[in-house]
Amino acid sequence: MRKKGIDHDLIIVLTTTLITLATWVGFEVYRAYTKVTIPEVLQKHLQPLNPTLDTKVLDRLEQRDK
Amino acid sequence: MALDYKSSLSRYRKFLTAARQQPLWQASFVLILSLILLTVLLLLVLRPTLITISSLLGQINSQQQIAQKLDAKIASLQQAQTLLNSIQPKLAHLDNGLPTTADLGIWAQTVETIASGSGVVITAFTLSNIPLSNIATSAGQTLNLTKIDFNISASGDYAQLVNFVDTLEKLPRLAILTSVQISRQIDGRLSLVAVGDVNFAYAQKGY
Repeated sequence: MRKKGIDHDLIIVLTTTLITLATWVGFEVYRAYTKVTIPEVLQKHLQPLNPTLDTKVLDRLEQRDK
Repeated sequence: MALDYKSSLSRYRKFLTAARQQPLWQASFVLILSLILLTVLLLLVLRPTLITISSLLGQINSQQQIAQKLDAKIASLQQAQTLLNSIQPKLAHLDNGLPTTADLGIWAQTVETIASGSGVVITAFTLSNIPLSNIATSAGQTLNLTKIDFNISASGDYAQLVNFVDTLEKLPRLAILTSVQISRQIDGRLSLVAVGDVNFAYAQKGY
């Protein structure tokens, strides 16, 4: 009976160890996937640029010069 | 009819006890233990590799997003360059309206010219908040513009004063009038006090 109890406890310990280990590795893998740092200089260059320009202002300035 | 579950459970327990004593069960138990241990060891061994792979996948994903953003920015820059080329002839008007240096001498001469053209007599002409050497001061600086305040006092009849103010507003160089006061003097002539500001852009325009 005692041997069966030890076997049973061994299975529980090993199973919980496996679950803990799998969770730990899974979290570390996820963290490594999501933790990507972009340099600050590059982030500055990545800011979008608005290519539109209010040319009506230039037309009005042209009218003033005439 | 009552269900005789006690005898069924008792028989099932007997079956389990008998099954555990069989060599197949004992062999399976050891096999399960070995498999769990093997999985644990495999996870420990493969952990650095898995982390490296996921890190590289994350970097690839990030670099793809960066490449997309840079492509979009290059397209925007090309569009802006095309637009700039199309309005290049008109940029001189922008320099006239908002020069990159103070150029107050030229502007003062222009004011004198329109005053004499309108027939008004300038009695006082004050410019304040003038930055030395065309360097922007923090006090007058707003949105890359440096503001220079002016105060012009002139005298003449009503039509002349109105003509002077109208021409002053329509000068190629932008002058913003904040207040205009016309009052009658002792000799019957009208006097004008025009307050406003002229601006210049101190920042590099990049063209």
